[in-house]
Amino acid sequence: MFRREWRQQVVVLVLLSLTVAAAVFSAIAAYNIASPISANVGNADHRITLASPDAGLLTSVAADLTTKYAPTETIWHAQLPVPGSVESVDLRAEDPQGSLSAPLLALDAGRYPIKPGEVALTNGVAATFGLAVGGKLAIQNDSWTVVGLVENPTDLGDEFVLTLPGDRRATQSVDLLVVGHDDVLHQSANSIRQFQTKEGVTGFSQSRGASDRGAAVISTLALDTVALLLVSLVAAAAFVVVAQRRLRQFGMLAAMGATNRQLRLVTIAHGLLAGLVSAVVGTGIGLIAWFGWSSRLESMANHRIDRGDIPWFLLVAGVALALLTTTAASWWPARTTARVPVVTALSGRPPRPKRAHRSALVAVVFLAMGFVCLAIGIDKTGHAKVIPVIAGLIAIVLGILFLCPIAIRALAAATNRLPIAARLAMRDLARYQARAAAALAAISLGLGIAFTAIIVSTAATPKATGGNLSDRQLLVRLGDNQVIPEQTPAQLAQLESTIAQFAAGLGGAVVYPLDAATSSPEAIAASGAPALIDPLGRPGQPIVGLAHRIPNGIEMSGGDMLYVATPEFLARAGVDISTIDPSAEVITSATGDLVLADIEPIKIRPEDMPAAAVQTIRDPGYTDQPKTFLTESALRSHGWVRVRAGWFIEADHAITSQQRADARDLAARSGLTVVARNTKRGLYVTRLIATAAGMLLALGILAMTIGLIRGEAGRDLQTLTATGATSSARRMLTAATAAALALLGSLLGLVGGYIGLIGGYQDNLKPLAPVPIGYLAVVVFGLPIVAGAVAWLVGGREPPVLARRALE
Amino acid sequence: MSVPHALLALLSEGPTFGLRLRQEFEARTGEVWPLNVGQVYTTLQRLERDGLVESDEEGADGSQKRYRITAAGATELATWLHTPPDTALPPRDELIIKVLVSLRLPGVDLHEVLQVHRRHFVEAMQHCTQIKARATDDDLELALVADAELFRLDAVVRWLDAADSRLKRRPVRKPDEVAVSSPRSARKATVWG
Amino acid sequence: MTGVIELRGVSKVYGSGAAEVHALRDIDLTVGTGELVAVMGPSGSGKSTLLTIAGSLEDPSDGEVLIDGLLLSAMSRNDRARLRRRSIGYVFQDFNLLAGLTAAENVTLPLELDGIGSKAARVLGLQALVALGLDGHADRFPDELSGGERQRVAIARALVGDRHVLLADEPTGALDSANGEAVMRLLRSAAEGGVAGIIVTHDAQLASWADRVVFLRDGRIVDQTARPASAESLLVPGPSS
Repeated sequence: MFRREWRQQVVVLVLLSLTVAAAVFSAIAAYNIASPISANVGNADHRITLASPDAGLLTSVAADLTTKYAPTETIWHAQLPVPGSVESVDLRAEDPQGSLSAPLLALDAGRYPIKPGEVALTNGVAATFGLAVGGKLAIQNDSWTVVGLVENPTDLGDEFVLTLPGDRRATQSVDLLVVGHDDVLHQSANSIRQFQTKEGVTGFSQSRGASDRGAAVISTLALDTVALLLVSLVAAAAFVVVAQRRLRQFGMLAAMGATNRQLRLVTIAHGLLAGLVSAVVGTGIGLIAWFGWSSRLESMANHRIDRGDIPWFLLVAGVALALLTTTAASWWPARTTARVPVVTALSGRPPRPKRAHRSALVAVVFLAMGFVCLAIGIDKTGHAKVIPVIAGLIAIVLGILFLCPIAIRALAAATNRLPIAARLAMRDLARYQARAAAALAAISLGLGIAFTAIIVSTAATPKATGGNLSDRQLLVRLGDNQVIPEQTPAQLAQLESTIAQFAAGLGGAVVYPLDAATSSPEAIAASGAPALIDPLGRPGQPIVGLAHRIPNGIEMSGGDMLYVATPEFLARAGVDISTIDPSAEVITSATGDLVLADIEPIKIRPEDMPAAAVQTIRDPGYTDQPKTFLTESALRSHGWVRVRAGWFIEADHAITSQQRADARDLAARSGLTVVARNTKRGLYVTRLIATAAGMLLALGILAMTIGLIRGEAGRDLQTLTATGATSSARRMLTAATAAALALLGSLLGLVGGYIGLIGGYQDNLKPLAPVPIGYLAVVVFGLPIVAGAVAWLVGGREPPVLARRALE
Repeated sequence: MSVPHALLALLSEGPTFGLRLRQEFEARTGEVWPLNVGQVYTTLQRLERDGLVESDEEGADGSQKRYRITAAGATELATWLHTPPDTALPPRDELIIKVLVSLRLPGVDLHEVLQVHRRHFVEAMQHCTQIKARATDDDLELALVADAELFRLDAVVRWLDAADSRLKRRPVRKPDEVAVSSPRSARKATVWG
Repeated sequence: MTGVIELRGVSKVYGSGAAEVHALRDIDLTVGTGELVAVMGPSGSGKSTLLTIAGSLEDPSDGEVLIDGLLLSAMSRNDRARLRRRSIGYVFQDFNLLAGLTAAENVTLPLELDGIGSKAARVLGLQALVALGLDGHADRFPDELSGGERQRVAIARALVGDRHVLLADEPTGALDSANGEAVMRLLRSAAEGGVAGIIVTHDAQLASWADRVVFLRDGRIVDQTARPASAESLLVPGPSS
């Protein structure tokens, strides 16, 4: 028996250590994979990008700004065409010794260019041109010698040709890296804003944004906490068994003179040691794994990872957490069983469990604490604070742990009418309360996670009346929200007929052509703005858009697409034409300080731009359905031009997935994009996976712990056989135990999960309203059945050497 | 078995006639130990001689002599009741002698000898138990006596078992070896006193 | 003669080769209806093994066991289990009560395993407990009972319902003489009701309650007592001290 104990102990310790190792590794990895800072800004605080077809103008503007915002560094760019292809490659003049731009450049092979006529390539460009160090790069009339291979460590996908600062070809655009001047350049979220400069130069600015390292670390730590708790609970069950068995063995030693106190100390010390060892060993393994594998994570992260960049503070916190859970798991059971007088333990009877109402009180306290912590820790927008979230998780798990004995006893009391074998199984669960409670808490935790995943993904699923489009609608777009590619009339006619054909094939479909507004060709030419390219690389015209005015600029990204209003579409959108104010320029459901923005604002400062005259309409409810319109009168008064931007198709039936696929094919062939209803299929899959994974996890924990719980029942099995029980009675014992634990685990997991979720969603409970009854029922009813069935099949072994042992 | 003391005990309950004494005695002892009348009267005379008992004169109408206990008799009775028998000497047991003698006799299977006796005693115990089983709750005396016999026989059977296991463990010795040493005979002498 | 319990040429060997142990050698034993047989012998004589083999808990290495005239070796495992549920009452040396069940539930265990409803079973269980003087303890758990009380619960379990084979291993070991005698009276009356029983013991007083005492040594039956003739008096001539 001693040997069996050793093997089990080692398994548990290994499990604990590996969990700690995985926690440590994942925390460091998450921290490093998350993008540290905005990849384009380097060590600076802001980056201003200027572009102009007039190289001289650009140079002087850049020089002015360099002085104004000193100290700055500049990186000059030009787009060089790749011979024999429509693509182009970025010629970049950057000083490798620049302090602000240092993070953006690293040398892989060879050396940096030091003389005119030398360049270094990134390996993507080298592959495109088929060059290596020492080769010659020839583009148009120029030729350079390749002296080295370089990379952008913060963005491994960035491909460019590095040349000397001052290369006369690199004059199309320039990046200015600026430090400070936050008041002017307005450090805020990672969006690109227009930057005001001289006429003839377009400018954009970008600030160093907040890194999303924090969020990555929080979610990893939360997952690690859960994993640690799970494994610790299983370990606790195992340690209870060991501690109780040990005391019985020690009882005999006590007769030989060892004092009670010495024996207890040994048991407790053993528990403490186990916890410490697994925490320390686990941390060691995790760190070693990190140093070994960190380089492999670079391609996943798309940036270089510094092996030594270990968040020591977080690591210490994580290790402390691991220490806490593993030591508690090993030491607490030892302490509680050691408190039992050795004489009682000698008798083989498990210690009498504590009163029920004390456990209940503690449970309620912990659950309340968990609720409060999660309510504090997760705010309205879904952002989470590390410490409250993790504290909340631990508190809820502890609360459920203290509910477990009560649940077990309640079940044992409620099952008095069951057949004898099932009744015995329930009573045995109540008798071996400590280990059963730990095992049950582990199962509840596992299922609680699964339930949370199911409920959250249900909450995130758009309901029938929400989403981006209804299931009968398709939005076909030419270009994107900023650029419409130029189309010849013939090309446009071709597109129109293709769309019409497709719509006819849909059956009962109405096609609403959508136009956008652009500046007139003369205005574009006069402004000197550079040519714009659409996502497919075709030259196009800039669209007039509706933007929000913000301090020092206008916010264009994320706005609704502005279409020119047509009576048909307005009618379809449910807008009564007679109610439209003749002086209105924009009909929209958006609100706020809105301005119409085209290429003109390059000349006008944002604060001088006139507010658009807006007529507000009801939001149609679908996010991608056109709901922002420019009136005809505004179009004329500003001198803008209509250009076909897309088509809105509405069928009389739900569009099948085959039809969706056909639409996508059509779009790919014609250079269009198609938007259909987002089925959020991913979330459906998430729910399925969560259900299956949760059940598998619970079954796994059951398999590990049922041996612990029924392991002491050897004598009982012999008695049962002697009084005439067949194998079905024996199977019933294991099956009933498994089913009971599965059922209680589901219910407790549900309780814990909902307490946590209600705490987290406490500001807005509406998303939780649709309860995924189907999935939950499958687990709550299905898991006990499956667990019972599996246990029935597996648990029928006849106890060996039956009667002799009992009778000796 | 002390008949005089038993009679004293009976008399301590009250004066009575000799014949009655005999009846009482037999009734009280479950009729296990029958006494004859002569034995009763002889004992009574001896008690009277020792001053533990006194008697009335024979009645004129031919009724029996009445005996009663004296103060000295009462003291003697009390002393007797509270004094356990002398356990200094081991009983001169025929069985023990048989076993001791057979230890050295050639051609004797001692285990068989022990088993014969064991069976016999157990049969006797079966008999005793049968009687006890049939005794009703009122038959306190019968039960006490039966128990006394059972425990006595049980003790012998247990000794037989102990002897059996000692014999199993003893080193094998040739029958014609005579191990005589002074210390051993001296020990024997003290035992038998 | 056919009896309720028959062992014919039963032998039992444990282990193999050099470590072979012959627990029983060629045992012939027949117990008839209403007969109580005691098996006495020193430890290691094989008496416990005899009991487990008679109770179908172990198979003999050689020979046959018959209960009610049925060959145990010819029965399936389920049939033997049924036999143990319905016909055989077994008293283990260490009682072997299930700690998770109350005294009454322990007593009715074979009945409930047999499918008898818990209400009906409880009636029979209480009868057995009353016979053993435990009616007040019916709903206590074994760890709330004294050793003697637990032993009596185990005996009640062996007598519950109308089983007619009783196999008991030191059934009065934990009892004082008053309780022990009460138990033996009960077993005797059960025998009078038709129960055939084998009682294994090293206690001669206990064995003396049997109709026949069989002596076991080194796995063989070496002797047995005769059935005592009914006698009126204790005065049987025999060896006296």
